[in-house]
Amino acid sequence: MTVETADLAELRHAFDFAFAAPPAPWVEHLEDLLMVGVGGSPYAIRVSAISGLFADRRITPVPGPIPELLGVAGFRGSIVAVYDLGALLGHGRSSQPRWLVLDSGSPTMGLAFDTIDGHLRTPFASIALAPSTGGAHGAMSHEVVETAEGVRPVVGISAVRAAVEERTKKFDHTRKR
Amino acid sequence: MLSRQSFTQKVGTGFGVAVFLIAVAGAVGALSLQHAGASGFTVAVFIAVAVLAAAITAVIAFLLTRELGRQIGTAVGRVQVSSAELEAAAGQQANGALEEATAMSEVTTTIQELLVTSRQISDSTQRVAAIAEETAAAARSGESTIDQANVSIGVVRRQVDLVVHHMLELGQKSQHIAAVLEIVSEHAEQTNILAINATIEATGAGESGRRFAVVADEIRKLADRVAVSAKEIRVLITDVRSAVNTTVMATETGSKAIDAGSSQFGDVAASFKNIQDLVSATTEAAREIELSTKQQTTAVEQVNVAATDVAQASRATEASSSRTRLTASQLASLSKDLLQLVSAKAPG
Repeated sequence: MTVETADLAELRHAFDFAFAAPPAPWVEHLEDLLMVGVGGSPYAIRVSAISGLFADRRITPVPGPIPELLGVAGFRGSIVAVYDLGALLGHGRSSQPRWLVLDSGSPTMGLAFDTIDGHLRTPFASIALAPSTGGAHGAMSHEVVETAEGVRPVVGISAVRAAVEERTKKFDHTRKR
Repeated sequence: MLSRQSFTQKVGTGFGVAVFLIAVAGAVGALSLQHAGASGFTVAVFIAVAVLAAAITAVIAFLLTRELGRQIGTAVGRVQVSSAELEAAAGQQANGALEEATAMSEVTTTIQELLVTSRQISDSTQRVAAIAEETAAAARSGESTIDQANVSIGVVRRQVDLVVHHMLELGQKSQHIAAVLEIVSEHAEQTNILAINATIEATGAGESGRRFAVVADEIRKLADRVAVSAKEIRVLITDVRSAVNTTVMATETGSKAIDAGSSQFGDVAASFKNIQDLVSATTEAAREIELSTKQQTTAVEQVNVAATDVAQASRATEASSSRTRLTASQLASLSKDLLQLVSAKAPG
């Protein structure tokens, strides 16, 4: 039996076993994370903080109150504003971010980034507060998760949303004046 | 041989006899006049005349003898001079003949050496001709070998072209596999996105979505494995394509080398043909040289015989000249003695 045939047999066995085994008990103290690349740096995003993951969505540029706004995109009949996550985290504008997540807030907000490195299910204990770096950017990634490849900052989606809303309000207030 | 002393004595004696006869004739005439009568006077006159005639005869004989001695001396002097010249000439001739014999001896030695050298050249030329024939045979064999090698190279060339063709087909199929794999990767990615979104939905569904979350998780894992396998396959395909490219380049390089080799084989075949022609010309030239050398050897042998004959003739001439010189020397000595004899007797 060759190596390739052994790999195929292992893959088939694992697939079959997943449906043959009884359902695994739900473990409450585990957190699902998306491993992403933003502006060339590794980050993590809580799955519980997003409502969807998409790739290669067409983004229509529109003028906006803040420069991090890339444009708008359609999702199941809804128009969603899409922001450049890298620019919001202080890495500058990405050229053409391929991936996009929708947050779970309302109205829904899209955050675009460059790459997906994978999925990670990790215990809550592996997520800790990051050393305080101060500033608006530090507030948007105030947690870190320890992975096999190293420590990744965890993007706080709610903090990002709050920052965007705050800057938008400031713009509106300035414009009303 | 008449000695000088006897010759002088005889001449002196003749002269004394003549004077004595004249004196006796005078005395007899005087006595006859004193002691004879008239008849006696006639006898006395007769005797006196006879004595006087004898005296005159003696004087004439003396004069003739002196003249004859002078002429003989002159002739003997000439003979002596000629003998000396003949002796000198014979000496020179003997020396020349000796030198000539020596020179001819050296010439004969040189000719013999030349003869040996000519025979060696003839032998060497025969060997050269034989080697040239062997070389021509080897050149013909090399030309045949080159032809066979050309045929083999043609076969190799066709095989290489076939390998290149198969490699290019393999490269195209690798591209097709890569395209299909790209679709598989795309499906795996979309499946992964679908699984993550299913996980998100299951998480949002709370307690009722937990079992669905397990299924979504398994789908995601499966998509991850497919993606990993697709990456591995992509790496393998890349390696295969790289190997194919390398093989194609190597075979093309080999094909060019084969072309160059085939062309060089053509040059080598032409060179072999040229060598064959040159060797044939060499063989012909060697045969001509061999023939000329044999003729030259024959001529040298004839020259050697002639030179030997000349040397023998020179030695004979030298011997004859030596004998002539000895004879001339003896003649000169005899002339000298005769000249001294004549000079001593002749008066005045």
